[in-house]
Amino acid sequence: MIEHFDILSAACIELNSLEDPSSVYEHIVNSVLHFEGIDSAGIYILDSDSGEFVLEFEAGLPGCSVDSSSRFAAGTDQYTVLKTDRNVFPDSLEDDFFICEDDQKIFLKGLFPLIFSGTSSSVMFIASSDPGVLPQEFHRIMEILLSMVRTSISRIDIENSARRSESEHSLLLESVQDPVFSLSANLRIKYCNKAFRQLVHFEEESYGSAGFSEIAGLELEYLMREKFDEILDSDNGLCISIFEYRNRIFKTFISRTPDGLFALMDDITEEEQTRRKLNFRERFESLLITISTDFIKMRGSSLNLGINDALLNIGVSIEVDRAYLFQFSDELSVMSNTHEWCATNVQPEIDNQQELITDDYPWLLNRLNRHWAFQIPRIADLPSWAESERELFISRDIQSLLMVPIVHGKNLIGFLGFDSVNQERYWSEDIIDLLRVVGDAIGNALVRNGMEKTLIEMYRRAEKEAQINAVLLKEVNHRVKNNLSEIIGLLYAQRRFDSNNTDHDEFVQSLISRIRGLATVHDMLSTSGWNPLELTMLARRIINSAITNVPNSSRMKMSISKTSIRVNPNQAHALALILNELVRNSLKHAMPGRDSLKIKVRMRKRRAGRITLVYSDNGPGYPEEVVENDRKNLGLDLIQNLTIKNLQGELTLQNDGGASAKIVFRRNLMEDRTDDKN
Amino acid sequence: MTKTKTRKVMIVEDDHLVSEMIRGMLEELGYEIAASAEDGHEALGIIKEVKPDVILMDIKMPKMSGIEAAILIQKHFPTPVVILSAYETEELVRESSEAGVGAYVVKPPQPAELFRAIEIACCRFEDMADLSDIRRKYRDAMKTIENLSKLLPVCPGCGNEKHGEDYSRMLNMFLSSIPVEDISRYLCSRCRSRKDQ
Repeated sequence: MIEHFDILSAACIELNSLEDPSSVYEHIVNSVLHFEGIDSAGIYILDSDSGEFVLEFEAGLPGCSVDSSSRFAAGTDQYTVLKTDRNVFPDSLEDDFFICEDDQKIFLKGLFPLIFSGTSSSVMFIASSDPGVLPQEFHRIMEILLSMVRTSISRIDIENSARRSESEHSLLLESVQDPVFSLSANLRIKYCNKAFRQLVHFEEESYGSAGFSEIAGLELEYLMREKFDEILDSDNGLCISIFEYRNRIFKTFISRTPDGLFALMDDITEEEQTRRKLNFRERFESLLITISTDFIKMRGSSLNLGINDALLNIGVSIEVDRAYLFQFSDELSVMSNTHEWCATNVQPEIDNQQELITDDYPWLLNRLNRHWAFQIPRIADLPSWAESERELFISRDIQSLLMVPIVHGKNLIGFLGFDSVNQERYWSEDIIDLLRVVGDAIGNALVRNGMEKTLIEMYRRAEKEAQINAVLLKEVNHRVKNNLSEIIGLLYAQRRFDSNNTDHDEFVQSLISRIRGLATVHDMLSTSGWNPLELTMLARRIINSAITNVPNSSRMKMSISKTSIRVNPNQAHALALILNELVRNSLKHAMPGRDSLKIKVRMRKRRAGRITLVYSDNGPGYPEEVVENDRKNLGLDLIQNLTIKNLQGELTLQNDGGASAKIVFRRNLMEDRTDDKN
Repeated sequence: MTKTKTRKVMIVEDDHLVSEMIRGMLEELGYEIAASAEDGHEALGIIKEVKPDVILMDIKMPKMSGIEAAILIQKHFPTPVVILSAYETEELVRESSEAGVGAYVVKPPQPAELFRAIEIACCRFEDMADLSDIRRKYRDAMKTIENLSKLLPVCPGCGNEKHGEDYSRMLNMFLSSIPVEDISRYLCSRCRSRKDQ
């Protein structure tokens, strides 16, 4: 028995090192021959194609080979016996179960199913040339041995299955489009697929167990290292991060495995770009709606601030270097840059872009006149007839630009411009369409603002005119009442002086003449708006008025000095009445009996604002008593009192080749109508 | 037109012809033209000498306006003033009223209008003078009552008779302050009957 156990022990040790079922079968078949009394052994395997048990492994002592019994079809007695599901130790079997080639009978001593299932089946047999029964202990040894065999086969199956599974897994990962890799806990590459190797530009087939940074490079390690550490140090089983690497956007899933990390880098570049585009459009539309809505409420200086703010926001949103607004003159002959925003380090151009003659830029004007929004992705692509525009754009360091007309109704009133200075750019039609909305909103705001300014100016002008008219109306009322008072005063004075005069006609004529003098100066003052009057003109009008309708007036000659002296309305009024009386005096006393009458009026400015006015004629002169201050007629009384009271001046009457009256008074221009509230 | 007496009027007007109008109207109305001045400054210079019963004054004049002159006249030579102006703004009417002017007439006035203005201004001025006199007399009477109440011989607080040097001094001071013409008012019946005899 001890010998049997040694054989059993050696066979079992060997079994553990075998890696495929064939070796196991071969080994066990050979091993059992070492047992005493066993001359032959073999393994039948059910062939699924033919349905026969076929002898696959067989060993026997010399003369004990069972090769002739290598195949048993269904229906035979042997097939039925082989299809057993348990160990069999027959006490007696048909002698002819196995027949050796040299006709020696071999007796079946045991059948042991190694694999038993519906479709696969393998059965081991042991046989002996001795017909005797095997001892009972031998049964137990065979059961142990065969149990070991089955265990080995199972182990090998499991190992093969595991190997196969790993291989399939690798194959699967290799075919995944997204980069995948697994790392050990010390961050050495255990596996990485083709997509990953291509991504990191690792072209070698074998990567052994290199460190992550050796394969992936420092940039990717920098992007992922923190996440590796985080997941290794925490209880989280999964970590997701999004980052940009080599112009692609990856959403990376990192999970912890029992012995390290597994990572899948999902390339979400396309969907991320789509999402960003959608986000941008949403934000841009929202911005433009806000801008357009704000413009509705903006007035005056707030509109300028609003436009500058809008240029900034749009410029930042569409990532340009300069955003600006040009406005045209009414006839489109001139354009000026009125608002501008520039990105950091971009040169402002607003000061250089004022009063540009539009005829110098025919290509630009042609397009804007058609209300086209257009872009120039490359300045070099401008047509030859846009040479001046090219020069203008190059002088502004522009590489690409976008222009949007500002239109109100059918009128072009300006344009929005967006420059790209640092790179060539192309803007989508969506953006251009949206910017047209802003252009329309700015256009409406600018036109409305202009109209409001005009209305305000008109209103202010009308208000000012109304105020002036109100003042003038008061002045007119005052002057009229004063004139009426003076006429009444004149009547009282004339009645007082001429109480003894019975010549009614002369009384009336005198009154008419004096009231006409009042009317003439009133007319002049009302025409001038009660502003200071030129004394020369006043004298000429008064004298002309006084001699109108006088017989032989053509024989009268008038000479008035041309000195320019302006006097305030009150002084002009008094001087007009004085001159009227002096002319009346000349007509009455100097004219009769003469062929002609010369009247001279000389005016001179003196120091301290004093004015001298000398009226003279070439008549017989004043009577002596008049010169000596005995003035008992109304005309002279008026001349004297008007000079003294109204002008605060001095009167001198003398004879100097005729009657001569010298009036000296102080000019007071400050006493104009606006001060004349009393 | 009837008036209680011929009033002396002073005209203050810088426009000669307007001055002629006022003069003519006043003469028709029977007033005496006491004097003419060309502005407020001149009017203040002659008012003390002329002593007019009423002053007719323009507002806008050189050197000194009518309103400034009216203020000074009321302060130094209280006299009724009638303003005569071609302007009729609320501001000027208010300023004139504050200056103590008695009436405000717009040029050219109807003679009757001028008459009413002058007479009313004069009457109101006299009323004001009477009122001032009454007010002064009232103040004097109140002072006397106050002095007499201190001379009551019995104290209304404690019921004791007042005596002593202070009381005697106050009594003597009061007795010495009684004007001669009022002395009979304070006499006892015996002295009064003796005086009547």
